[in-house]
Amino acid sequence: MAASPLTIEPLGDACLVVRLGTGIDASTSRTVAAATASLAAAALPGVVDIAPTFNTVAVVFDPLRADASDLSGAIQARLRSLEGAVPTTGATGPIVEIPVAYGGDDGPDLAAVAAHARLDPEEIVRLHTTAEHVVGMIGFAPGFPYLLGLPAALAIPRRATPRTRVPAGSVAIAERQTGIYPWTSPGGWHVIGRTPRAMFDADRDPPALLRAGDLVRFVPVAGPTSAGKGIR
Amino acid sequence: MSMIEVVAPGMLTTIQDLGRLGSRSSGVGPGGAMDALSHRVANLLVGNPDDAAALEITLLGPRLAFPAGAWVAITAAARGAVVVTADGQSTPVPAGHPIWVPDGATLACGPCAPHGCRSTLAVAGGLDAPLILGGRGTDLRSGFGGWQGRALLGGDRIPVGAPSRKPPADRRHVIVVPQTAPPELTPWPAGSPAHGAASPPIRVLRGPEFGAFPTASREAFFTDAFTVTPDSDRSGCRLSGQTLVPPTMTLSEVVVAGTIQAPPSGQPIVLAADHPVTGGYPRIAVVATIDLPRIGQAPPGASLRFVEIGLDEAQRLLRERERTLRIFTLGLEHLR
Repeated sequence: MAASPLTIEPLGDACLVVRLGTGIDASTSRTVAAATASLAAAALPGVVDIAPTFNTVAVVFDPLRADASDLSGAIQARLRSLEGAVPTTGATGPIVEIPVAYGGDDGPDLAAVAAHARLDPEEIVRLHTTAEHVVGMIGFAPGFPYLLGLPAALAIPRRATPRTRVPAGSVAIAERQTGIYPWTSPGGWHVIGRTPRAMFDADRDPPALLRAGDLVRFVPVAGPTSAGKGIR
Repeated sequence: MSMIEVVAPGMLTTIQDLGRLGSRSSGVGPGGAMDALSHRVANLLVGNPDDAAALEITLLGPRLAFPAGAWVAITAAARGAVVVTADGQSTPVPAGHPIWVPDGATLACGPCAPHGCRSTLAVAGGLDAPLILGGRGTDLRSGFGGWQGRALLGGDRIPVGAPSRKPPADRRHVIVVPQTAPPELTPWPAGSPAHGAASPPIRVLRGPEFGAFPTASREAFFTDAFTVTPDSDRSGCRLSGQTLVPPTMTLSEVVVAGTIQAPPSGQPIVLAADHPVTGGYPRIAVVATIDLPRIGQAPPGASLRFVEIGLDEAQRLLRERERTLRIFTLGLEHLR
């Protein structure tokens, strides 16, 4: 498992947070994905939900059915048996291809991102579509993936003023991450394109298109998709 | 199938249950009733499983028409509810007891203030909302679940399931409309499970970043009162008071209902049922599960104080409450 020892700390009286690293990186994400799968398979008594973040796994439990310290011990024991079993390189999930129409109405911030990076918009698209992205976690809104692996040349601070309305399907970047807005919502990231794929569908199992640990590749398609075909 | 029709929706009336578990990894939070205790008691009163779908009423209750008669129960804050029969006869009905609403009658739920912020209206048989991701409740942020993913509107016709059992038959505890005189209802033998008075401090556990807050902020958090602001909703109870100085946080982390975050403004937010599953603000404390219903009942303007308890104490209090609820349930069985 991770070189650093794992720690388990409570978050209130109904959640334990297993910390597997301190930073954001693809290797930690793989460890987190493996630990999440292991804990889910263990079906520990009283556990009602398990969720990965960048470097932790949250174990939500029913405090009437599980004792926090007993559960903490069971988690330790379970993850100890995982030690050494996690590959430090290579994929843990499938590669998911996300079609994106870049620029124009679909990506109103592409020009600004290009100017910030001192590159042509075409080069921004080339770098974004050739990089391998890893889902660090799902959060912010149902189905919203935080993707790691944005090339350093594209790194950019968040918008000074968040947009009040970012359309569903918008592919946006900030710092060293890419996000995809499953719902039309306010947002502070730079929108460089838009995908017609539904990131979330409550009738699907699991409802989110992506899971923490999945690998993602963006595929450029001709725009505009602004008609919103397939976007919920 | 039986149904109820919304004549007037009230301020914000949604279908809720005890929440949606198991989909956090897809970014789906728990949702569910803001006051789970009142939700459970309302269902038990009409003979439903405690997690059946029911209406959550916010501040001002709805007016509902019952084409077919039904047993209902209102719990928590709402007062002054009235049943009006088809021939125009009005009967005031209390909270906390089963009420028979006859065919063709309407039920007007009263206001929640000043007793609290929310009420539960349970109907025998439970509301027949679709089971989505393990829950029947309305996710207002994402627009799915409950009734078409939204708050109720006038004209909505909400299907009701078939009641599996009857409420207590003992007329000292129930109201059957119409009746000639308002009855003197007898309190439940074992009392009703309650939140306790509104004034004692909300019990919290230290949050993961508690130690990173400056001493002055930590002290202010536990000594000062905070006022609930009007922009509070099902995703969070927003507070105003002494400004806390949040430490720097570099990454979004997991949050749960009851997590108290300090955003850059320094004015704390208590996350509630419809919270996002992750958050990037420092977590100074987390409300103990026992007191989450009290957060759901705190109306705008309410003054809240916080007191620290340990994990063992939090667990003990919850077990004690569950025992009270179990005795209450057995008492209802006895009177059936």
